[in-house]
Amino acid sequence: MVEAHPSSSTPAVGAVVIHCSEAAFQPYYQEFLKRGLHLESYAVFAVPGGPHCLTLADTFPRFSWAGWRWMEFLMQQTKAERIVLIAHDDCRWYHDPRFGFDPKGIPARQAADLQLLRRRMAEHFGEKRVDLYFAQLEGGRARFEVVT
Amino acid sequence: MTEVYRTEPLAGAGESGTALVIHCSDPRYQVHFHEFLRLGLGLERYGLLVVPGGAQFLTLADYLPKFSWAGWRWVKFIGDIAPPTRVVLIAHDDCLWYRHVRGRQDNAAMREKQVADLRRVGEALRERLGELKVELYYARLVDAAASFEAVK
Repeated sequence: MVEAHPSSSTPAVGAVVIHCSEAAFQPYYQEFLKRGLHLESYAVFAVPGGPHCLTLADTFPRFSWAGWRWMEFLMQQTKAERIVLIAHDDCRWYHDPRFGFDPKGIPARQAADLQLLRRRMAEHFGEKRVDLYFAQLEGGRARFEVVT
Repeated sequence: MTEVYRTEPLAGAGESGTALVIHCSDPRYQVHFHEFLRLGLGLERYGLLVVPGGAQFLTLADYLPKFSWAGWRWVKFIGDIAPPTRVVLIAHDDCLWYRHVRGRQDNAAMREKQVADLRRVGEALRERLGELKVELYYARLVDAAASFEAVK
């Protein structure tokens, strides 16, 4: 016998948020989402490099495949109208030799990846609000800049 | 780029972690997970893997191998840059990803599967990352709060 599951639908949420796994940033992300963006309820997708995995269809397609499947599930379940993508300074995932990025060019690369993903999100999920941010540590705090 | 927010200085933030936490993406649980990790377990900094279904993606080598392939590479990356000494795996009640992947199941059967997956992933992490303190928890919502049970 299968029981009824009255709570088996997620209430509408403020956003789906994608950020990196790196320990140094976790408390700052939580504060930024709550106090900076005033998000009370949000789904999280957090892996090394954060949104970067979604850009890897040509080079490391299994990362990309898994990432997009999870995003499709989250967008379908949450009915979110907003997606928040956060990259951060000195991301060790981007510095991994497997990607071959020039270290000096990584911040620009991260910004370009976020902008690319804004377009990809529109292709996958239609018209949604997609907010892009870049976080940096500074004197025990973190500052969040908007990427346009 | 224009600054839009600057955090307060936070104790323990900005430093590498010695713990790895894996839990689900479900929006109903995020604030409860944060509180439990900080206040319940005293974790100020930790590497975080968050995907639908939590640690279950590390069990899917035969069934959905691309999730597992990606997941273990992410775990290896975290293990290489900040080797954890403590791992916290959290499953939760009424997980929509488990229902999505496994179809209709009663609550007891689903919980049993989730707990088995937690144990299996805990063992696999010990094998791959070496000596670790592995802690397994199961969360459920109780009105507006959440309850966390240790899984033995």
